[in-house]
Amino acid sequence: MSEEKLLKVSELTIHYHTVEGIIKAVRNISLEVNVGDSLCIVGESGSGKSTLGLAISLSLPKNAVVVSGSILYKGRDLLKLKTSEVGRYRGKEISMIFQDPATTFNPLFTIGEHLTDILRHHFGMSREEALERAVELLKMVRLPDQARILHAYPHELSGGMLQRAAIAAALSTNPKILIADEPTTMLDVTTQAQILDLINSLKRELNLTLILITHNLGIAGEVCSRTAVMYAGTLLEEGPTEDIILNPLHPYTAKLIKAVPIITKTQGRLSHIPGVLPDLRNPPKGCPFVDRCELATPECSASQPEYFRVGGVRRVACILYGGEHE
Amino acid sequence: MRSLLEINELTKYFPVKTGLFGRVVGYVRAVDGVSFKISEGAVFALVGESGSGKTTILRCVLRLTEPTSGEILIEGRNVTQLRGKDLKWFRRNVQAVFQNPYLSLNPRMKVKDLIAEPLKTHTNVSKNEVYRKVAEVLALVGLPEIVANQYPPNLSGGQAQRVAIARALSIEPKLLLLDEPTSALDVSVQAQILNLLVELKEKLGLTYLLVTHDLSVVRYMSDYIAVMYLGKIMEIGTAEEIFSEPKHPYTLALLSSVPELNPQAKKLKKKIILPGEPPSPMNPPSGCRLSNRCPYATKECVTEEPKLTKITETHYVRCLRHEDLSSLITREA
Ligand SMILES: Nc1ncnc2c1ncn2[C@@H]1O[C@H](COP(=O)(O)OP(=O)(O)OP(=O)(O)O)[C@@H](O)[C@H]1O
Ligand code: SF4
Ligand SMILES: [Mg+2]
Repeated sequence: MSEEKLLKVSELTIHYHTVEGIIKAVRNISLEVNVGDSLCIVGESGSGKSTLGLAISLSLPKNAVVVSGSILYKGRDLLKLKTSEVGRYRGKEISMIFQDPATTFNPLFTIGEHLTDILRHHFGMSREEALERAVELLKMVRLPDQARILHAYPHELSGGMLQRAAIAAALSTNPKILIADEPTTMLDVTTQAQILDLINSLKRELNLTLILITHNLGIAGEVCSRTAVMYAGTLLEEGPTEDIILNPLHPYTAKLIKAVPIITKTQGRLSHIPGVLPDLRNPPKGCPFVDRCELATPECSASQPEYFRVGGVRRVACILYGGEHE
Repeated sequence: MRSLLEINELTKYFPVKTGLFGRVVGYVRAVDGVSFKISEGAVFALVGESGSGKTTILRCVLRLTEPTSGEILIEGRNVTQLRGKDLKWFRRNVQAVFQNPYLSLNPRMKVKDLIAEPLKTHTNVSKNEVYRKVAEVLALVGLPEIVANQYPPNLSGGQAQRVAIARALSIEPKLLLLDEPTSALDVSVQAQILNLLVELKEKLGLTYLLVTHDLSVVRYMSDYIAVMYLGKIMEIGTAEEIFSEPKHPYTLALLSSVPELNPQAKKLKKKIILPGEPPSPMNPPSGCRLSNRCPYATKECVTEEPKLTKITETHYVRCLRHEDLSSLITREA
């Protein structure tokens, strides 16, 4: 596989307009994804992960405003598409699945109706062709008893089965990029293990480019080769997942990893991060972590730190790594 | 050591009715013959996935639902038969903290009044004394004084959960029931709450019954663990026994399904992925309840219901093949 840039997000800033004020959900984020990459976006609640995912999949809610930046997909800026062109990308080149798989489906239609609808619409298949393909798709996501599932309504399937069906629906258009937003958060742990296993196999079999959004660093390690850590709307660091977990660069990432209760830990205190998340209506001008960082200097409050390259494949937005500018 | 809570052969069946005539067509065996003891000062964890019956046990202990059979003893008193003075004693000494603090706290009450409420109902401390006590408890759970005058919707998840804990602890209970106390919280906040719970337990000599699906939380906190599946205890033992020498395939599957943070540890870990999902507790499989998903099941497992078998004084397992299991696993690895 050649290493072409499939996706290039540059200096993206997104606000939500609400009655309580303007929420600066995504601030100045840049990242790149190559064909076949698997990138995990990790962050705590409210860090802006979903907003970023929704922007890339052209599914932002009405009250979201893209203030600046670009999202280049194969060189084309998705933010500058004409309304008539959106359908060629959304759900087709770039598909998304969500924490609650029920959001993918209309409760009034069977799984089969849903899948054949997409297939006929996107590929102009006949009913028979679409049904045949739908069965293949259900097999691909390892759902047994496909005939029964085609006739089932969403509420008749368990959470794990429905998430598989949602993955089948998302992949039915042969998208180049799959964005999965917390796809296992609502599931039991053993079901979560199955779905992660499925995502890993599909990634390999279909050479899928994957963006996985999660709050769980352990999941990042199980699925993605690269990880980007978000905090209060900004991207703090990015690099190979293993490096980030074993040797986090950003003070926030380091704290976050120490706070995870690991299964081998038997006693002692967990370390936690004192303080609270910044108010996104009025985030700090400088480093977003400055109020909670033990290593902060006056310089940290002056302006948002720029990215510094570390070891070629990593970058981090913290002045402690100053010297080697990106 | 004396047991504070003792549960003997607890069973809870929920009738399943047809829509139209309300005819009972079957029973969900939510809890099916569960027994365990918790000694004073211990942390006992019930672990299992949705539908395993762990929350139903907790609800039975709290008297929110009546057991079908079996007994629940607290300091030797039968919980379902408490009356008068004993019932008052129970209400004061058994408190609970739930998963979602925003649901369990009245959004229109100030934090200080929320915490004062149980003090007023269960004790006869004077009015001045009540608010002095409220301030004390707030400090105990690490909340700043200004929070006293705020309302729950304006608190962060971690702060709200601290308020729920403060409320439960204000009347100095003996037993605290914790139902997924951190699963609605972010990682960094979860760590704060877990640390707080451990600290409070040591400081106040509390006993915890913890219900959770998250094994990583359990190891860190608990002395004893019972692993549940479809209403039955599959394995029970000290935390050390469950984590270092698990004997039940289901325990192994649970342990291996926790996403591992450390990439090196991951390479060593053998993953057991159970196929399918838990069947409905309305018609569990015959024989062993795991038999239709267990990678090690034999013909006997489908016909014979395994009993809880003793391994050590503290460690019991419900699996026909538990003796072969360790060799089966090493052979595969
Ligand atoms: N439709 C919306 N309208 C207004 N504000 C929103 C909307 N969606 C998200 N926000 C706000 O934008 C910020 C970022 O939210 P986002 O959902 O992107 O975070 P997240 O990292 O996905 O969080 P979580 O882990 O809770 O899913 C938050 O402050 C959130 O409250
Ligand atoms: S830039 Fe400053 S405040 Fe931010 S993480 Fe680095 S040292 Fe801490
Ligand atoms: Mg989200």
